[in-house]
Amino acid sequence: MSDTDDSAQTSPRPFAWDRLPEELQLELLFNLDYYELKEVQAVSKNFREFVKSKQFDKPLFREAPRPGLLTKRMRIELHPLLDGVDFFSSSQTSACYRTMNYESNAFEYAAVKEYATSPACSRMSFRFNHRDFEDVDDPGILAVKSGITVKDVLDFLIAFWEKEIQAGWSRDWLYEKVWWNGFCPPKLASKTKEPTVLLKSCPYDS
Amino acid sequence: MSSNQCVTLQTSDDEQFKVDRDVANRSVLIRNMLEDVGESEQAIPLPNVSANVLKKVLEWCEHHKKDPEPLAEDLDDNRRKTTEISDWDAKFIQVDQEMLFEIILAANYLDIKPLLDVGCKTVANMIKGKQPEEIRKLFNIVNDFTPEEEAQIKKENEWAEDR
Repeated sequence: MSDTDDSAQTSPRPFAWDRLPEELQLELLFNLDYYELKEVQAVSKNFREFVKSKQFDKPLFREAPRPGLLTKRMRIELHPLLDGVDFFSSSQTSACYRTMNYESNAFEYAAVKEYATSPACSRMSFRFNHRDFEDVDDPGILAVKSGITVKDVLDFLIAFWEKEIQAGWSRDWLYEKVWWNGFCPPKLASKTKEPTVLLKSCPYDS
Repeated sequence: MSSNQCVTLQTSDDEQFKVDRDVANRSVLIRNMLEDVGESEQAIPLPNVSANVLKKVLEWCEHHKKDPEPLAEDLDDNRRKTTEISDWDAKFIQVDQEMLFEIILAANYLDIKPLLDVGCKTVANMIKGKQPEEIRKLFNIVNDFTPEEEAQIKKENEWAEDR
């Protein structure tokens, strides 16, 4: 018996990625999410080039806003970097990105230039849950015609919370009363003339 | 059964397979060829597929011969992540990497989108949760970054690693 006629009995040969035509290599990467695409960029120069392809604009928060792109029923994703920022401990030069055992300045990452939502939006409103504490102002509308980036949201919300702190609310007080467990999935706000994405903080005790 | 309900396929290594037309029709390439040629006793040559791969692909086509046609909207980018691999397909695709690779190539050549999808999702699942070095090893990929470039990419993505 030759060693090629029964694949089940020969020792498996490794999958040679480079032997696949380019369109198939792309196809294989279509099933990956944001984190996985970021990870595979570091595999080789070829992979890095692939991930730059327009076809990955949506999962990688690079899809620019255009009229009619946002519709009521569509799922809007929030950029993962935004969920890890502690806005109360941030300043205009340092966005405190915090996970279980890691802390850094989110402004230092290239990802802040990516859009805040996928698909991107040009107007965003915010709502914060707070416990027995109604005195926090509404941050208002963030509007960027070319599309709101992660940096835009960080700048806007950090400036907002800094203003609140300067107005007399201590950080401890804010942690106690307004601290949230990240954001809820963004939704298109109702009753707005122009499409506006509403970003709500997750309920305090969820 | 009359002979025109059967189709003969000829592989790159000159083996012939006689299959029901509805099994062969899972391949858009073969279906189009049959429509162009009309009824014919001649074997359809498949110069890009070897017998052991075609055998496996036909096993899939046989099992899925009664599946409805995939909807056009399922074929665009919405299909990613929307459909899970069925139990039968998951078992079917438990092959060594070389065969997986051959099935993907054959499904692409024969234009069998749902099978291509099963293959691609399987490979994506192999990639998920792996470090770049593990992915290189898995697929025989050479690391052509300089240590500086690699460190730069690692630094850019470090926030995403510890989630």
